[in-house]
Amino acid sequence: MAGITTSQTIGPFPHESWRWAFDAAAPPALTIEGSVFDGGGQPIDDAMLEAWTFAAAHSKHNQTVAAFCRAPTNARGEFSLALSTTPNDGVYVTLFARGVVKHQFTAAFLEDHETPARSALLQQVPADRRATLIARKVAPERYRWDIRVQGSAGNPETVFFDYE
Amino acid sequence: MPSTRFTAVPEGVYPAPVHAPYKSTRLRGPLQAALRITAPAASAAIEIPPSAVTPLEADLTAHGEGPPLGEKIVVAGRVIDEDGRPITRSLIEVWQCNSAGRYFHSRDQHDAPLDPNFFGFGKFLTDGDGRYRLVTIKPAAYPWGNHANAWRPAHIHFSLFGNVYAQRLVTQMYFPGDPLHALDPIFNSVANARARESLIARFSIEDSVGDVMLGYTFDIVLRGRAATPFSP
Repeated sequence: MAGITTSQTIGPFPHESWRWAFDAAAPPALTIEGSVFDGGGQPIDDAMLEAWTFAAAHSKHNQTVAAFCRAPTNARGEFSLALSTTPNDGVYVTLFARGVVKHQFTAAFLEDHETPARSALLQQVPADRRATLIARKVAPERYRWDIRVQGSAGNPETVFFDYE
Repeated sequence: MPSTRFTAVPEGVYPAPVHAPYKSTRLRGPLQAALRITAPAASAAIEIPPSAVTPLEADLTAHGEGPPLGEKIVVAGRVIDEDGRPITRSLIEVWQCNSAGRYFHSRDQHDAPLDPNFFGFGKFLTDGDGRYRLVTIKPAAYPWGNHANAWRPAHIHFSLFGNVYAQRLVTQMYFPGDPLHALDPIFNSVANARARESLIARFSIEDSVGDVMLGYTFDIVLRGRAATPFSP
């Protein structure tokens, strides 16, 4: 068995390389907007997010890679993930940033769509941490979900996963 | 049933989420351990259409009016999983600074020249045996302000999609014999010496192309093993 190659941060300069996949679904079936915060409550302006919606139909996507959406955070630490379809069980999100030494797997669950009773994934998350994974509805097909890469008093850390 | 299982990564193989000498980790490293969970999505196939890349994107020296300044090199390698199975037709993205240590990026203010013939990013797919080949110029060291006299060792950023979702990896490839390795908090955030050294490419005279460029080998092992171990 070979030892795995370890991870390193994306650093502050991935944008030119990663830009080709910033093509948002138009019109999106679903948009998740939010901000990424550090442990001091400051927005992270050089993060990258990737979202996958697996096991869903992609009949009208116009993206380079089906079911995939990538977005940077802006100068205010905000992101917008424009998805081509509504997920069956969570939007699978991968977070990268300078100072984040390994990509972080997480997921967003739509508050009016995926309850713990319906989600095999959410059931595995301790009940008192699930709130960090719930995207709140702000308009039809628009949701708000913030990520806290490091927790602090009153601001629980987003749950990150390691898949078995 | 998932086709791939992901055994826990031994302590020290991944960088420490908070590694105080690397200042940006102090408020950005998660404090809680990642939650081990089961999800079919972990084994979901990642399929990148061949049209997502063009052959020219594997040659970072071919995008200007003329050749870029610096030492032209070829980096070749093979991507496999923990069982040694090739990661086939999978996407790799790369980015790097130029031969003077400057990134083609609006936020890089290092007082070193941009090269009008070098932009420093590309992408390509592995072949049916997991192999890839990248032509570029050797990047330089550059200062990064983390501490007094802080210089990053020369490196190329690699972003790998793998064949299934949970194989995703972003890492950095370093060059052999660089005295900055011992001084770099990012490189040294990996406690395990073998894991750290796996990020250093090998010089390869076999991959060198006479009269054109020196060669380096950088093999990559992504996480993942067969869900049902092979039993003879």
